Amino acid sequence: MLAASQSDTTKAQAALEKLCRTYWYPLYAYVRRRGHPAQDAEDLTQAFFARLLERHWVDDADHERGRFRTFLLTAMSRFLSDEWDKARAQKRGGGVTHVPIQLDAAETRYGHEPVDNCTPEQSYERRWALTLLDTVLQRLRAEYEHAGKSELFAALNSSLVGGRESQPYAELATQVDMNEGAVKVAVHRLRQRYRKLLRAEIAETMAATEDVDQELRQLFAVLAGS
Amino acid sequence: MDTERHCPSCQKPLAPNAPLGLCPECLIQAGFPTGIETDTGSARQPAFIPPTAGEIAKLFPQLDILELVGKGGMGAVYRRGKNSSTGSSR
Repeated sequence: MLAASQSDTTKAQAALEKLCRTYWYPLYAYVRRRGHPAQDAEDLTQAFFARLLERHWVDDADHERGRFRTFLLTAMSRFLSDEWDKARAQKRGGGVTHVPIQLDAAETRYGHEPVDNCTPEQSYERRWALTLLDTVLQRLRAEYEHAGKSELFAALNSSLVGGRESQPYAELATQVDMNEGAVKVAVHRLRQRYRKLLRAEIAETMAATEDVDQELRQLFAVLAGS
Repeated sequence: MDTERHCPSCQKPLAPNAPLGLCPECLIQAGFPTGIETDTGSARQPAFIPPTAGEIAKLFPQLDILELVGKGGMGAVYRRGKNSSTGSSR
């Protein structure tokens, strides 16, 4: 099952919080796109996460959900229509909700984004895909930094896209002062590690019975369609 | 002044918020096990993963899709049953 709904509650809670910390921004942007002003959107997103984490929604219901991506969107959409008024009333009445997820510079980030003509749902899916890729690339970069290979990563990361045969190995070799054979190996390792991290990150957001390739195909369609 | 950047691999325009300035679509493609690591000559073309015969059958209920015959760089050919012994549908 989804890592966030393991039977071990503490572990499940930690996994869920981790997912929320990673993927809060697509949800925040979704709330904004649904027409809520900036000052409300932050409260609303926080209230949503507080409830999600307190009430174990992930444990309780939705065993049919396969993807955390879809589950979060459905839950937020329901929350916006049913729960927001209640949450606001509770807040005005002095109800205290602790802030579980830091929404760092949410509005600044939102304000800097290019305008698109998609529906709020499509924008959410697209931002989810971009957040996923950002997370994976940051992790990959951190691994190279940790190994003292920041410069190698900076020089070779452009070879993550495109075919293996089309990479400018000779040019890269000059750049990093290695021979061409060694660069080929380094590029191969980088691509392999990237793929492994990407697939692992996707697997964490899905039921184990589902296919990572299928989710990759959906994410590709999401990005290609916008 | 044209400052728009394009992906060197798929040639599509790159959004300013592309992760590490790399094309998000190509980054997703790179996650497929049968993807770009296994291609041989057509390096610029991201790998095409054909839908299964079952998936196609759902999209074309009027056709009797039997099997996937083969795939190329950008498309796939499926065999169907109805009305034609040689009929193939792309």
